[in-house]
Amino acid sequence: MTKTAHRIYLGTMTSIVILVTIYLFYRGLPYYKTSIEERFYHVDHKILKPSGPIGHGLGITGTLLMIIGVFGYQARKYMKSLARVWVLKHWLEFHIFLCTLGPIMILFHTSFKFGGLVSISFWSMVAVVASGVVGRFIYLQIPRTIQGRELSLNEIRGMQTELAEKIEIELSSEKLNEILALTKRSSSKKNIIAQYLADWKLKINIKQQLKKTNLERQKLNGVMSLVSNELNMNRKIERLQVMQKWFNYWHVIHLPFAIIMLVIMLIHVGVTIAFGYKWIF
Amino acid sequence: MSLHKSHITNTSKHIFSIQRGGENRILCFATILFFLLQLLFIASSYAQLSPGKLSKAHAKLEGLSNCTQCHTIGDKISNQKCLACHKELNAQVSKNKGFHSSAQIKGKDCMTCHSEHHGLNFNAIRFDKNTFNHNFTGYELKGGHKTKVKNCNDCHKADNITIATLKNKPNTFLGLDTKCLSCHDDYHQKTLSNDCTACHDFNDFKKAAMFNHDKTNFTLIGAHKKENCASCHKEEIRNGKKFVKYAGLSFSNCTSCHKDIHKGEYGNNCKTCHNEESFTKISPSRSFNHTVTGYTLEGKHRDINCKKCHESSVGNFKEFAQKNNITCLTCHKDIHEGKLGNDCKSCHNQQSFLLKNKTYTGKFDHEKTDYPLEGKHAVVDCKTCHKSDFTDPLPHKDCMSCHNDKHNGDFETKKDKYPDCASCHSVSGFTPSQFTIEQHNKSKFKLEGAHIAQPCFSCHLADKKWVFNNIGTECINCHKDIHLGVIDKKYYGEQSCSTCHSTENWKVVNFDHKTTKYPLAGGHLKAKCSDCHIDKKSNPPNQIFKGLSHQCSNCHEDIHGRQFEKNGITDCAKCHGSESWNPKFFNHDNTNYKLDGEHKNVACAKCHITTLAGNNNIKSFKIAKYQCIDCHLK
Repeated sequence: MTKTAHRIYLGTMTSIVILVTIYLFYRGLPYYKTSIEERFYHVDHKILKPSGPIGHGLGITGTLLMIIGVFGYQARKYMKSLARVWVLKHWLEFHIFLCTLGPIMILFHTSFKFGGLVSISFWSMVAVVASGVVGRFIYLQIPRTIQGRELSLNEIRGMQTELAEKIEIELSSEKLNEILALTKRSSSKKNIIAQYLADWKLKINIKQQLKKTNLERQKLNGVMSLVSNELNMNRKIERLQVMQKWFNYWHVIHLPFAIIMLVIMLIHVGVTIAFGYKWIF
Repeated sequence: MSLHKSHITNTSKHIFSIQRGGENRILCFATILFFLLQLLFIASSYAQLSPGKLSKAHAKLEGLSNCTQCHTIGDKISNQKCLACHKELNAQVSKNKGFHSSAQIKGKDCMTCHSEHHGLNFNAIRFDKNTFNHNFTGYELKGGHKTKVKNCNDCHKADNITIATLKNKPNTFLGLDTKCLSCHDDYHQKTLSNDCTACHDFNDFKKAAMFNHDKTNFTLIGAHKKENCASCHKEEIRNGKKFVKYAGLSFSNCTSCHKDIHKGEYGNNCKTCHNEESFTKISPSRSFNHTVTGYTLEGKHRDINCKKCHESSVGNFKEFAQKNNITCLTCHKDIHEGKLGNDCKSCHNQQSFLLKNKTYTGKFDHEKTDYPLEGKHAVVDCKTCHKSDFTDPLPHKDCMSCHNDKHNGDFETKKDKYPDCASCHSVSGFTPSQFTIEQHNKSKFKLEGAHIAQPCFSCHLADKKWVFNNIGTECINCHKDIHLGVIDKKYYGEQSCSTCHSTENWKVVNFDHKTTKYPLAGGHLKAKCSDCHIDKKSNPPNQIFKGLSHQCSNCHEDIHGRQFEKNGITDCAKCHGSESWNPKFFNHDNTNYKLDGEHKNVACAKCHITTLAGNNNIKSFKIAKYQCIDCHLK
């Protein structure tokens, strides 16, 4: 997948999520704002109630999206036959798309009524989504191959050298050394946020120095991008071990919540089918 | 630390391979187990499958074990399950009664209008009480039910609910009966029928608009109709409540309700004298014989109210018993103040105080007055002249003191000649008039000739109005000029009829024909005017006075069949004169055949033979051949 295609791929999925959310809010806000006791007499109740055409439809669709999202991604990871289908990074992005859109639909399916057994399923889903967001952050902190495989520290260092070479093309060796000297880490260790702020200040400092060299604007932006990557890489190298540990613990949270959600969802679906609320499409 | 090292050295391993470390695996599964256990705990302890709390009315059905009380496995909510609990409603529906059996509701699922699981305070029955159409319940709200009852609960309350099981159910609309007494108190305390609507409508209980007294055993007649109900049906207190007795009232006798003011002296049957129209107005068909009192009621006395003479406050109608010498003035006031004596009956009778022609039987002698009544005055109602008081002096010198001028002022200018009506009229009657011909002859227009024989109206009545003055003295003021435009003005002036005619006889015409171009002579002097001047052949006959030709043939017929015509003109005068028809001027010698000898003695007809020409006999005077042999050898 080219970079552009990837951007379209991401953009489409993001747009779908945003548009669906906006539409559902726009369509149902007056109803969802109505108190529980008054809802039955609201004009939209017949359509938007959890068992109504839209409400029930959202439940079924959201559930299917999540099931596809969860099991599709799992299958890609564990089934050898799928090992060559798409790169894992894209599968993960599709997993995130489905498992973001699905819960949003489920949210509107509940009509913002969070009670009973099924609420455990709902809150588990919220927990899974929340942990997914955190996981995604941690995931990004660990450099990987495009196939999603984690890179070793040496591989990372190699990447860093590549970067430096690229900057060298753009600048004189004196200047390069000067900048690289600036990006060198001092011995004292800082926490993540403090380090991020320090790097940010440093970037401004470097930019101002580069401006004095009368470098072309395009080249300046290119150099600054490389400097950013360099600093990011520095930070990632520093946090790699911490992040790998966190990522390990993260799985312990993300998966069990997903299982709880699925189990109670199955009970919920079973009960509703038992009471006669069946497939509506 | 060993875990971290393995990460760095073996980065190609999949992330899950990291978890395969025993510590993490235990942690992972312990967590899952914990949540699953917690899940089972929650499920079993709270049975929280319900999508929301049930409302207060259904709160007793909370809990997993009760789901199927309402829900049918595999088939949502069924009406049967609802109605299995709501038995009273079920009874209504199965009887096809009530709101739930109306066309609006029938066939709908309960859940269309009602719902559950919307919280403890959810109200499953909600409708706009102001716009609710009560007709759908099968009981239409009419009259006061519609206008006066503001709140549903005014009727739908425990006190009015007849079904015991529903009595204490709050907010129920079931259980009311349509019978009035199921909600309303029986004001009549079981003394009347239970069918309230037989008398009352829904608008006003007190009015009892449907009630018809005529359907009771006591039909209301006369003044009873106008009387207030409470006059007979008195309000009382019975069983601690206000009550009016409408049934079981005694009405066999008037005294059941009315007080006998005569204290029984005139018997028990009030209707002998009174009727329902009015107590004080005695019935015309009353059977009370007043003659037994010694005073027979006659005329108007029969019709007047007893109270006119008998004051109720005095002696029970016996106030005259002690009085002697009862005259009219005992009761009546003498409006003449004694001036005409005390004998009222000399002028008045009991039919009418007014003295009218037909009823006048009075004996008042008008001769005693300055104006004795004569002629028609003798029979006129006194009131005609005596408008106010009979004794007031009336002017009577002139007729017009009393009478109107029937001639509408026609004689105003002739007051000197005709000062009063009596100049022409008398008291014997307005018509005929007493005006004489002699009087007429003193006027500008003397009556002469045929005018004397004419009735007055011939000249004085025009368009149904009598006119006596200024009607004109010329003939044409009354007569029509039939010669207008026919006879030249030079012969009779400006329509002066007297030029030819006189009042003696219209037909006798005195006209000097010599003044015309054709003086009359001979036989013409004896002829009637019309013989020449009226064309009798036309209809109507035309007058011809102008343009008449002097030729004889213009008036006379040519009996000789135009034998003597020359150049279209026959000159009759050649043979005839105007004196007589005899051929005086004819001399046979002037003809082509001179008579001589014996011929002089021969009758004309011997030679002049009469022949028939057309329808006329024509004597032939023009003999074509007159040789001897033409006559003698025939």
